[in-house]
Amino acid sequence: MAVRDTPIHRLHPLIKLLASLGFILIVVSFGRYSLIPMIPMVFCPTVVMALSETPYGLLLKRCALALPFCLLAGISNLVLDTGTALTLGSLSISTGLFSFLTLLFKAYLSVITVLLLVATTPIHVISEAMQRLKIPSLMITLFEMTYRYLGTLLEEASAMALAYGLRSRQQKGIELRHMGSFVGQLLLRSFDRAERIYQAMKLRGYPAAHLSPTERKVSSRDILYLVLVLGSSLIFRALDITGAVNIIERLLP
Amino acid sequence: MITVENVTVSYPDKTLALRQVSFTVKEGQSLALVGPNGAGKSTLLLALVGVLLPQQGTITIDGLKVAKESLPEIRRRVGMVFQNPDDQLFMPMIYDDLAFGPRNMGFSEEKVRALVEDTLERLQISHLKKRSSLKLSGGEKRMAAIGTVLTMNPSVIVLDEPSSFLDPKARRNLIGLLGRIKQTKIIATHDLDLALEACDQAVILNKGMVAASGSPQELFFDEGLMEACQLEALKRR
Ligand SMILES: Nc1ncnc2c1ncn2[C@@H]1O[C@H](COP(=O)(O)OP(=O)(O)O)[C@@H](O)[C@H]1O
Ligand SMILES: [Mg+2]
Repeated sequence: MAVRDTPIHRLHPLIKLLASLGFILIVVSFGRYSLIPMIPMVFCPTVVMALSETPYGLLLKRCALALPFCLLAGISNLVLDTGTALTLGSLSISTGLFSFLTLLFKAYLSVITVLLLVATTPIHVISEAMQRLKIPSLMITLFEMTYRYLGTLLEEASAMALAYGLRSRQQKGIELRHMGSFVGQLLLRSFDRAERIYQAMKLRGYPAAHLSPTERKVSSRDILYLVLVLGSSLIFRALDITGAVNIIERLLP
Repeated sequence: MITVENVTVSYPDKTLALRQVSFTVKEGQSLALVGPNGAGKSTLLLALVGVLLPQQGTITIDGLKVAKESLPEIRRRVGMVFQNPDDQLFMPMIYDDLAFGPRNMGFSEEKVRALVEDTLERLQISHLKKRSSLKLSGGEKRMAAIGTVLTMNPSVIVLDEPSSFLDPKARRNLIGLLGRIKQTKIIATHDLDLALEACDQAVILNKGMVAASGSPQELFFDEGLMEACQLEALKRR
């Protein structure tokens, strides 16, 4: 994936990492009912996606994989938070649904940002950038392992789904009554493999005790990128403050 | 020189995988470790690189004992090629997989590139360097997996079932390559033909114990011995 050569791929890895982290922080800082003011935030990811020639379909598919987890996290809002946030004609939207959708949107933007970073920067370059930022090595290892674990999980899942499909009688997909053992097997198998991969990495000197001696200089183009991403997002965020006040005012009796 | 002396290894679930195993391999020699499934071949290789530490006995590599304290140095000296190349190729591109070890050793990017290009050339897989390992054939993956170890230039290379997942042509190719690798080698396999061609010494493991050791020529054609070890003897032509 991280092999194309576009203006985005050529940016300094540290800058890309900072821009991504900053962007996610801004996304997360939006209020819990700021669904609508948050919409302009799709601007940066969209532009980066276009400039880096990352295929939309692929990214959306990978992103879809993370969403079930966000769904789980957000469902409690639906149940617990039942005030009315918005009335569209005769349709009233509960605050629970509203905050749930906001959470989903935040998760979606964050996941897309990470996926874009990973798609445009080789993983070892990202972790070196993290090392230079003095991020604790435990967190870097965790990040790398998560990245690889998700990869093996996907591979194992598709291999198992194929093996299942070839032997199941009828339709596409996995029957509900087989789902439990399928997921269980999948987790066991991918844990096993992740462990072997981790061994293979350790046997080749991972984690490295030292940074590679070749470091790139930050150029003015890199700085411009950082300023544009963070600047535009901050503006969208600032605009929201008024939006948030409006919504809350409407919510209060 | 590798010495394995009275090595006993058991897994956390109390499976006794190796019992009192002993043998030596001289510098530059190539040892075949043969035996049926479950004989303990993979376990022995993992003990050689210190992923598993023996409950009893000692393993030394060029005089250095395999132990917790010596692991970084042992892993510089011994490279392991896993049975399943998918476990060994985890980077987005083959190039990065081969560069993974040298980068961890702190080499400059130029030195890394020289090492990787050189190894790709040697394995005749230069055309694969920008490909992802997910889309390679069994033979190509095997070559790349061996490459990830060769770029670290270890003095000993251990390989677990290197001919699994290979078609006859890729297997030929592999045997040729093994002949050209000058390092000390330990090859765990139940492919006796490959062991006969690529190794000058053999140890037969059965149920975690050494059943016999000697030259491949004298062991592999011995029908009685092979049958006792659940292996199929080679036929003289
Ligand atoms: N992770 C493990 N936990 C428990 N037992 C294991 C594990 N790996 C292997 N074994 C057992 O150890 C024995 C030797 O296995 P192994 O070294 O993989 O044999 P081989 O490679 O010769 O086929 C077998 O009985 C096997 O079931
Ligand atoms: Mg084995």
